Amino acid sequence: MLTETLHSQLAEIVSQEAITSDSPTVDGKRPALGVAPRSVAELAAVVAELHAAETATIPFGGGTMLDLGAPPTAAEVALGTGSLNAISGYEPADLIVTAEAGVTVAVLQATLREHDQTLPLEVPCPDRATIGGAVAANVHGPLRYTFGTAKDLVMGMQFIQGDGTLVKSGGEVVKNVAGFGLHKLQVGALGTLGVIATATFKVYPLPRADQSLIFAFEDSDAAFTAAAAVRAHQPAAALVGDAVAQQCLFGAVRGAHVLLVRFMGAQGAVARQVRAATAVGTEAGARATEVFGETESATLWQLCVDLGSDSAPTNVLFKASAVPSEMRHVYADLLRAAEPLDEHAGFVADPLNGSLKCGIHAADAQPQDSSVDADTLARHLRFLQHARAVSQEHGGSLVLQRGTVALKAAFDVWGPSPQGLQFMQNLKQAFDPHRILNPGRFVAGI
Amino acid sequence: MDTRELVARLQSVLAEEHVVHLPEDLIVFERDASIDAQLPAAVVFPRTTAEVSEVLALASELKVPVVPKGAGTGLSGGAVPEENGILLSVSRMRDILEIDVENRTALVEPGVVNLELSSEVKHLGLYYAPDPSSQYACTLGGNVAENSGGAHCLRYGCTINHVLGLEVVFPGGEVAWVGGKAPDAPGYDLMSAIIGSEGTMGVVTKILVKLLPVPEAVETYLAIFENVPDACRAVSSIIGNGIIPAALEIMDQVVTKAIEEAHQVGYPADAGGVLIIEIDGMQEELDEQRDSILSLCQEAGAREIRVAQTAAERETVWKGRKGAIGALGRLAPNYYIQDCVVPRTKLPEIMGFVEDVAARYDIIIANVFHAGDGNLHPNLLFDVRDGDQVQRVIAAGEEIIRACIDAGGSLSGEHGIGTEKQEYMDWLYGEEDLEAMRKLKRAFDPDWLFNPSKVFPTGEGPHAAKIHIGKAPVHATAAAVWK
Ligand SMILES: Cc1cc2nc3c(=O)[nH]c(=O)nc-3n(C[C@H](O)[C@H](O)[C@H](O)COP(=O)(O)OP(=O)(O)OC[C@H]3O[C@@H](n4cnc5c(N)ncnc54)[C@H](O)[C@@H]3O)c2cc1C
Repeated sequence: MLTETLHSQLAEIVSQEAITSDSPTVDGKRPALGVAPRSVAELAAVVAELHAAETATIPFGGGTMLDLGAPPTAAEVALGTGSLNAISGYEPADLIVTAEAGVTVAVLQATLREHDQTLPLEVPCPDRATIGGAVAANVHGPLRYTFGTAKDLVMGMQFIQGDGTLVKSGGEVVKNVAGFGLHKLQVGALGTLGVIATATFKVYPLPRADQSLIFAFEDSDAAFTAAAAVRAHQPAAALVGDAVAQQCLFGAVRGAHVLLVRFMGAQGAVARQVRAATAVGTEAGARATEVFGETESATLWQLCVDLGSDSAPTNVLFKASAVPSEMRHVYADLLRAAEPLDEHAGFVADPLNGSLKCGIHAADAQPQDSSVDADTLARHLRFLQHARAVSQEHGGSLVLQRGTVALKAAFDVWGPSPQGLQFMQNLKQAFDPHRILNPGRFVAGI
Repeated sequence: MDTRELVARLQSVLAEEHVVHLPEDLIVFERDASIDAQLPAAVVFPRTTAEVSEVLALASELKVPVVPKGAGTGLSGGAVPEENGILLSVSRMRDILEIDVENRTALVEPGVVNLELSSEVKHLGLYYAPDPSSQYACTLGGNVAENSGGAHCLRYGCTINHVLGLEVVFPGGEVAWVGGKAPDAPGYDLMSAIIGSEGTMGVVTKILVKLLPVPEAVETYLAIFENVPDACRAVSSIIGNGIIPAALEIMDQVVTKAIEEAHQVGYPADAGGVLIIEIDGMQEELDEQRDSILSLCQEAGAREIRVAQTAAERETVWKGRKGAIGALGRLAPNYYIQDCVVPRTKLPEIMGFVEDVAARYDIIIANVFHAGDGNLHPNLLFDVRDGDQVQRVIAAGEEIIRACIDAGGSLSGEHGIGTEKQEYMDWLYGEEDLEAMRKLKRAFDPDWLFNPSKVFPTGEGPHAAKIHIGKAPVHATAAAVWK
């Protein structure tokens, strides 16, 4: 009933083809309507309508990060940005690009590459993931050590507030302090403070050289010690991975743990860095060293970023953080704790930034399953609780990125309320007064 | 609110000597480095987070406006007191609390001076990257509030790219940490919203910053051009060729002359435009960049390129650049420094326009700016006692701002809006954009007590019409023009 009225109201804003009954499922909830506006103005008008009708809305881009977050309290309309796919401004010599939210990361990168430029933001599934989704979910990879995260790269934005008004924040220049950083606030807000319509990024020249090294270690502590020592040679990024992760990445296991290190920059500089790092690795007891050049290097790191992002719904994926110098303890502890899980748990840790990603493959589950048995659930829960406690002990936090609805019901996806929660709630109230945007998916019920 | 009562209440939470309130003592606190001035009701000097919290709780209870203040080097009026308000100085909160070499971070109090931090960690081979030209005086708290930049932000980014966490006392007195040593704390990124909020959302009481390793190699060049637009063309083509040096700074002849008179650093006296180029990083990186940069400069018309041969020579080059604004004091009693940003490809055109504006309005405009970022600093020189000149300065300034915005640029790259640019905010943003920003402020400051009369347009007309010397408005005539 509601759907029919809404359908006809939306049909006055967008064309019939832009309204479908085909929408993605979020934690078991499937919105009855899907709408895909074709312009920023349409997007704004649609949100205004949804606001007026107090309709629970799930904004989405490529749908690659819909597992992130707590289950929505309601999901009536799926608002797709896929038809907003223009790169609206790109002046290569200014190193600035503006794109609509639905432009995929791969398309944007291909455009930039034509001019030997890149957006140094690592996003899983770049062929499907959109820039709007990547910014809203604040995805990033180990390169953040050198280039920061979306908040460092987004210079401006247009977004639609919960009531449908279009707001511009920041601008299309590389340096700007005029007005408050509303666009920075949208980064990682998971669309709960507004729907991103366009984003302007600062981009970088492609590095002249890009090489990576893989060291194999039997002992995880040695891998982290090597990572700490390699830092003196200014790597662009580094990762430590366990055997399961290696199996997923390379289809082979080089050692109990590998340390991957990436160098980017001038040809001669990278050559020296690779030599120096090789010596460091050997000194730390690395068994084998391999060097990956240029395209191989980029491919390798994309694999690492993709790790776990496209697996079965019964799998568990979480991200933990710690003070960077303490990540070695978190990694070692969680690997030990995962042993009795009796299924495949893979780990990659970022020793320079202090983050860790873990994917657990539920051993008995079939690909089409959407739930696991009670024992498995209980095991996963115990492990997650332990992992969160360990991360917190080392100054960090843990966010469950994927899990079954039952697991999410038992384990708070975001963890304890953050400091300043009251201000976050005030922001939600101010920017989405009817709470239509991703209701309940964010921190503390926001 | 009766001032005596306010002072008495403040003295109940702070020692008497840390509450300044006698009119004759307040005068030194009426301004920052901008052209506005206003006397507060009282100035307080808390030492601890707890004391800040008590003061803010009191301010909320009594509904008294609060302005946080660092060193007062701000150029946009952010630290100018509010009438009948409390000016909260963090000058007693100036300890470096922790240097964590392993994680390359420093935890500091907000009153720590920018350069002090780099000096303190130099022996560890580390430094704090953002380097405003005022770094010998400005505080890290002020830097956070303004999201300050500096010459080396071209390669290394501004304050926001170097802050990991903040302890903030929010209006009402609540204390919270936003961000921290470990990344990715769940929740909205309040930290990024607070950085650059110009003291309108609370008082920053601790700052956790990243430290960087001192680069192994540095080279500094002075490329000398006949005019500023040529120097700009060199900048555009260096960046356009995929090279991002550490710094690209341009000075025009007015500036180099003034610097020479003040500091004798050896800038050429007869050149229309001087471009400082600094490259840093690994030696091989420099080797790869040097030749391209130099030939791009020659192509753009550089008549000479000088190399700083030693560390001492490099320092001299920077001493001149960082002393530029001070040196302008020799040329005129007052200056109005602008801070627009344009896309870098628009630099030559816009700088030509600035020259044209100076000629049309018959004023001197001195240019010293962060060219690599497209961040202009036209300094409009004037004598505030000359009402006609003031009017010409206002009109000329507005033409420049208009042109920069029309070129796709912004009102401010690093100095902030404050009172100085507030009336121009609606040239850049629509009412709905501004209302969204107000909502952000209200989420933290529902009573609108923090720096309440700044940043947003008042509708009273252009700022410069409000220029005061001390308490006395000096050119009522100028104000009348803008009615
Ligand atoms: C000669 C000269 C050169 C300059 N060069 C540069 C430059 O290259 N780049 C650049 O970016 N700027 C530059 N500036 C501007 C100025 O130095 C910076 O804005 C600086 O960050 C201000 O720091 P401060 O401690 O003086 O802050 P103040 O002027 O005291 O305050 C500035 C703002 O910060 C707020 N504030 C201060 N402390 C706190 C706190 N603890 N918590 C919350 N809010 C606070 C104030 O309310 C105010 O709004 C220059 C200024 C001068 C005079």
